[in-house]
Amino acid sequence: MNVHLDNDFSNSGALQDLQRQFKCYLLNEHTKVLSSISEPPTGDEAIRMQIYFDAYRLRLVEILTVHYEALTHLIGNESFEQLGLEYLAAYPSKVPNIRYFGDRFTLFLQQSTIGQQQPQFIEMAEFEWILAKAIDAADMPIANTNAIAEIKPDDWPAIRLQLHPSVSVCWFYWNVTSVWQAIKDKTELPAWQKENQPLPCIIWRKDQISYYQAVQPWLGEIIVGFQETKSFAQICEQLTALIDEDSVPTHMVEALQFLFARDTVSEIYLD
Amino acid sequence: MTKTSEQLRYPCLGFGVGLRTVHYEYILENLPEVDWFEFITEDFFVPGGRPYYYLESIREHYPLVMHGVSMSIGSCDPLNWDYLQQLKNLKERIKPAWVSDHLCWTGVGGSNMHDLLPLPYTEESVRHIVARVKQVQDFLGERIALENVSSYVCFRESEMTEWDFVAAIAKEADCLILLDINNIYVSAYNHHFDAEQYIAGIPPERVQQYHIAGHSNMGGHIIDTHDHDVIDEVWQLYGKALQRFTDVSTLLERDDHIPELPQLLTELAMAKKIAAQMEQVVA
Repeated sequence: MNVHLDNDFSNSGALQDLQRQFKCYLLNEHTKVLSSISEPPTGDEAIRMQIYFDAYRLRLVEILTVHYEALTHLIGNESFEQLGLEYLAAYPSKVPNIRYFGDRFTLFLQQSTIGQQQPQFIEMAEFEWILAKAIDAADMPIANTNAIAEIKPDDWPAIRLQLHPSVSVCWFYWNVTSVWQAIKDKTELPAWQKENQPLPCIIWRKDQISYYQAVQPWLGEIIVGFQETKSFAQICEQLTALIDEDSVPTHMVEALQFLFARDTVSEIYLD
Repeated sequence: MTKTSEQLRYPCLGFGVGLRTVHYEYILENLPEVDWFEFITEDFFVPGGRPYYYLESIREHYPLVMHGVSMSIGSCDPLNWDYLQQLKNLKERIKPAWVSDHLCWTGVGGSNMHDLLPLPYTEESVRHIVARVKQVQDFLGERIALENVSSYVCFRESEMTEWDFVAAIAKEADCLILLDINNIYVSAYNHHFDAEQYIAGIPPERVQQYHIAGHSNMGGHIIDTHDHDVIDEVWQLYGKALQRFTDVSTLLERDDHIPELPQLLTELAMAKKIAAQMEQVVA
């Protein structure tokens, strides 16, 4: 195979100009590119370019509706489509895998009027995105409970857990999970309810399926602690701000049982 | 000295179907009689999890081919080496029979429009793309196949036919051709050229693979939607291609309104039937 290295692609002046003009049409319907289009046998240049213009929007908005299905349901197809177009204009895709186009949608909602008026929608978007991301999070081995039995008593304060990469902890003010579940089950939607403090929701993947579970704040704090690679001793100390000191060991045991039962621990290690 | 088909191409895999998520479970439970599957490369640019679980499980039973949609080989942006490294990693992990993408551009200025955008058929475009294909092939250590795309516009500055453009790039870059029969039909309809003349202009020794698919006829033009069955005219054109090219793998694509796999296999059986008829004609 002959290898011909020609890195100076900026020499492709006419081609580059054409591609920039084409892109400007797709983004903003700037018509300069139309003068470069041959007259088609049927219709006209604008009708033909409209196919690309529409396809660009349809394809990318459609992928948002796939990943934000519950939010689409809540907002309504037409309004969500409009929101999707605004997102596309604000955050055009730079990713090769279209599946990740919606990565900044939660951020976009935070800055949007609808997000400020209906903050529960921001939390719903965050929930749906993280639930989907758990599906293709990195693979890691799953530790079993035998690993706990092998820990020497003196080592307990220093041990740390490597949680599976699919594990996330979200903190929600709103009852997004119950609303999401009702949408999924096609049952009557519960009324929106807001807590005074955000409550944790754990999301993880097991056997190629993503799961979620709303949990008590102390359990959320423990899991966040492990994610931040804190030691058992550090997490226990932190917990005393939330629960009675005497009950910390019991809660830690309960947390371990919770995590191991859900295949969410990849490794137990000593620093 | 001109290289022969055998020297240039990968062995023919037979008749395959585009691998889609809705069919994963069916494939693993039933192991249907399909010679091979083609998957969308970028769908597996993910850290891990379910996509790899299914892809590697299916790989245990079938040959796979990687078909990309974001290499953007015709773009005036520099080659995306991060993209190419991911592609190479995936190739080394899955060991596909070959790697393909499209003869188009998908973005410029760092953006990805997620569409297969048309190129002007100029000497400048040929030089630009040939240099890039050579770099990609050198990086991957093997020939890639490039697919002719459906188009809705042509550019005034084009200096040659689409088939001359495809042939020139394949020869000069020493790459292979994924000849999409439906795309030839769609573009011929949209631009009023002779589809059979297109096929006659393609160098046989470079044709690695066919795509066949359905589309949406809007009257004045056709949109390449991959959401319908293959129409008779495309089957006829496929038959014409079979008369000119030998030992070319065939792949049925469906991207929207995807039916159950058995229904697609019934459609694929039509391709086998036409191929068998052509063999008899040739014999």
